[in-house]
Amino acid sequence: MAEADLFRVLADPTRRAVFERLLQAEMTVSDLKAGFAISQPAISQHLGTLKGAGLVQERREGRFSYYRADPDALAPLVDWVDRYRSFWPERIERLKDVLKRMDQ
Amino acid sequence: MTTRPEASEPTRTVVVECSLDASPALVWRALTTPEILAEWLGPNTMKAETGERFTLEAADAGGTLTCEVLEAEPPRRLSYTWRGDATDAVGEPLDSRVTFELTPLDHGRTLLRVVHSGLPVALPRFGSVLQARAGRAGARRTTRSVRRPLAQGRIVGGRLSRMRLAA
Repeated sequence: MAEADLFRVLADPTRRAVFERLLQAEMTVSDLKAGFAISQPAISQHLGTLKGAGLVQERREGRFSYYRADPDALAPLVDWVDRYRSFWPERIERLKDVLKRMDQ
Repeated sequence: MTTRPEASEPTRTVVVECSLDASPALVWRALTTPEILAEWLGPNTMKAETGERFTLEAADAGGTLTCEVLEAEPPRRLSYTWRGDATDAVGEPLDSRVTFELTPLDHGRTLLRVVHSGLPVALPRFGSVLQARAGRAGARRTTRSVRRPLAQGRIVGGRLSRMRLAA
């Protein structure tokens, strides 16, 4: 999934909180519901979005579905510091090329 | 209204320094002439006068940025805000500032120092996951830098960290 989409999916605070809890342990929807003041359908909806983004995986066992977060799905994400740490050196390389072509 | 309990989190600064084979006057033109700036930084409506506002497109680094010129002292110092609507992995918006410092060197060269300050730090609860990722990405970048040296840069993290990026 594109980085921008991952950002968008995780920008929702509740969804992010669901993801964070599932990073710690595998849970069913009812396990998850215990920690949130929102309805089970709402949690299911967030899980669906997280699953769609590849951030959460589902495992079925009998009547139950177990969910866990997949931290590898975070791979395309960087924070701003990390992003600009590579952005500026790359842009300065371009600036050097531009300067070569300019009249002194 | 959203509250930001993490507002006490320190922000970080990325500093990149390099010497350029051009005079400060020429570098200043490359930093402030919209058509030239577009060639290396991104499409923009730059006007290098204090108080002026302009936009800058950087698809790979925050999308459409809203900038306000804070200081414009040719050909020495240019500083503007760097604000974007995009948020990072933890929902932190980009509300930062970029300063270009030009110092004349021998033989008509210029020392360019880019200081990008006020960058939000990934929140601690997510930070460990993201940092592990960034560490791996950093290792990949180092390998690439060895093959094709980039501008010398370092990241200054206040009391958090201080490290060299590319030798």
